[in-house]
Amino acid sequence: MINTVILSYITFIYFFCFLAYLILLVTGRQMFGRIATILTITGVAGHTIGIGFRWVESYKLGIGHAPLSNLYESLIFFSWSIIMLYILVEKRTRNKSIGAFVTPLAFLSLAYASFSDNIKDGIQPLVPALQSNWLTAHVITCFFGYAAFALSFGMSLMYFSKMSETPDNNNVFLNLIPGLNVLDELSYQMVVIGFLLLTLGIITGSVWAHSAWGSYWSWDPKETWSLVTWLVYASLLHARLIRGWKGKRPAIFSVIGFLCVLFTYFGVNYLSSLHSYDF
Amino acid sequence: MTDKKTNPLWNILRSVKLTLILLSILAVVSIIGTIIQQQEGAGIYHSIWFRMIIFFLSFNLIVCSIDRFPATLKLFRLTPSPDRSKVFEEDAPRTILLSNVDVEQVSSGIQEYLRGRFRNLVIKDNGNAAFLYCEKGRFSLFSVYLVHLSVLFILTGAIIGSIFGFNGYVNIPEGEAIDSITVTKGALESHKGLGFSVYCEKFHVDYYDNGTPKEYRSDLGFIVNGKEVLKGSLLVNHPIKFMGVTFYQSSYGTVPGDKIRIKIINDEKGAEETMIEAELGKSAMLPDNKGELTISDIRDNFMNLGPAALVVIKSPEGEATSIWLFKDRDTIMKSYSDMFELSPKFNPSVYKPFTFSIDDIGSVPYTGLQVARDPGVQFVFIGFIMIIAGLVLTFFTSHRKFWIRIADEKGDVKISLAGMANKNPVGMDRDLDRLLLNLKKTTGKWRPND
Repeated sequence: MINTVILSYITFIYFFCFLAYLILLVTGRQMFGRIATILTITGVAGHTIGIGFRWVESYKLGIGHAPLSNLYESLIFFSWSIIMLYILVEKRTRNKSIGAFVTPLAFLSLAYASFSDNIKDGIQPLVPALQSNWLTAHVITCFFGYAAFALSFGMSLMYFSKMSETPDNNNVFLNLIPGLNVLDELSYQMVVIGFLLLTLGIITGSVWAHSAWGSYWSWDPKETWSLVTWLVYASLLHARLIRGWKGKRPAIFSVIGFLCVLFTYFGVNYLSSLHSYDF
Repeated sequence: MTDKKTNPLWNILRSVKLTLILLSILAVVSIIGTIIQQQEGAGIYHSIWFRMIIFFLSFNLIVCSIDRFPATLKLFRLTPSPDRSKVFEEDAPRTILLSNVDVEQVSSGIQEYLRGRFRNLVIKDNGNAAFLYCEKGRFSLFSVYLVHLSVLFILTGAIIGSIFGFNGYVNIPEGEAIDSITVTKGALESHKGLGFSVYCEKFHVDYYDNGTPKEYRSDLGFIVNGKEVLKGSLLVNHPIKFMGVTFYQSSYGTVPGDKIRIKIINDEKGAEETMIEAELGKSAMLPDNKGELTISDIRDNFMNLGPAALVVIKSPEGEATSIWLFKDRDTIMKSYSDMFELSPKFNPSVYKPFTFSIDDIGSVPYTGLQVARDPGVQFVFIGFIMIIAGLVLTFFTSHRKFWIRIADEKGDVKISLAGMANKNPVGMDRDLDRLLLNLKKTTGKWRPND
């Protein structure tokens, strides 16, 4: 299928994006920043076309549905969300250093989808439980939320590296990274977006479960882990907004939160779950 | 109020530190639940102490809200005085300088601009200068209470559902009707009458070309007092609600039907085989008229050993012998080799000279339905809407206060701009910049020299 071929090539483009952002950070030469941005935009354009092709192909097979229905498609969409959100952040902050920390996540997600033997990349028809408009709403909100948390995670890692900066430092790498306050604020904004979308994701999933199984919450491991993730970020927001946490501690929380996201996404498949992608 | 503030218990209950601790405990216990769940079912989440954690968290939330609400209400009611000078002491003050204009004219012009765009315009003129105050997003002060109220709504809905609602299941074979269901509560199961009957006319499964299921559909009829009141097709994701009870398509399978084929081996005649077919409740003659066989019961899963049938054999002398025949006799033999000799009731060779076995039990498809009533779900869904609205208001709106001072400065008119917000200072800065720009545009009209 052409879409999987396109998407596997995009994996390489994202790898080169990462390299370009990294070279920019190491050498400090703006040219690489421009190359990186052009590559990223090219990559996401191709990525969008790949997803579009897959969508059209599913209709040609007579089993048309939005490509958001299995692990392969969710990884493709996760990667796409990360890059889209990153492009918005780069446009707003006019700082390209974040790219070096965020593009590898999009690359890894796409590489896992394209090159892992465990992941079926075929277009599968929707089993009855998935035939619901809530599927689209649920997947889009969850994965855009995850993407925002991924960005916050990247910014928190940047925060930790920036902390090693000394006043008389001449390290190009650290000079190009935004200041601690800017990173802190950006990371917080990402958490806010992620939290709102995760809340929407849990709610859409819950309403869907109610119409499919008659129970809006059944303590399925995936549900429970999404609640745990929600609680971690809820704690972070309370600590920050009421107790005035800033800087290092929110950054640590953001890392813990993202680990919860990853476990909700992948780890839960090792526990028995309704969401174990191949039901 | 004063004794509340010194009360150590109140101080603990109103602290966000307690909130953070409770949130962490809830997270950790939930995680433990997902790990041990595989062995013990979802029991941990229905245990008393898990509910206690949620109860304490709600209590903490309520106390925090009660504790903070008066201050918020005060802020909400308070209109700051327009003639503050401190707010204008900024590092980079936003000002506009106008020459050859009249203070009065500028002041009324700005007032006209602000009216309709901002709220609570307050004007004060102390002779030397005109002070204007205006604001927006005052209701944003309450948004966080909306979020917390929504959590209470969701929990209330959950409590109402668990007290007044039920969740259960029922299997209806094609062509049959049921009037009660099995209700599950944690690990407990009980029967519950519905007050009406549900009839399954047919159960269909449709497949895609590659063999994956495409559609499960049950054609149901709902019967009250012997009359069919409602007819409908039940599909996954498309539940049917009838008399307050909602039915969901959840599984399917087959149950033994009424027909059974029995293989009879005559041990005297060199293992001569005969097949006879019988229906539940009906009789059939044994070979050579050596008695009469009646099927008196057919079970889907008897003694957890699979499908079985109870046959009663009447000898020509009128003596009755009952035997349970198991369909999966060979597999049962592997685990319980002596089981069929232990009791004559299970011994298929007890009626001489025959040995009986089940050759086939006809099967009937059944549809498996989830059945639930949840009077709390409306509260939960209202809570969902509230939490989204509350979060959007909390994170994306703020109470923004603007002060404008119009003063005469050495013959020119100087307009100073300042502002304060309860959150999101970056957004406030952007707002002030925009206001400055717009005021420059508006006042541009009265600048004859420019």
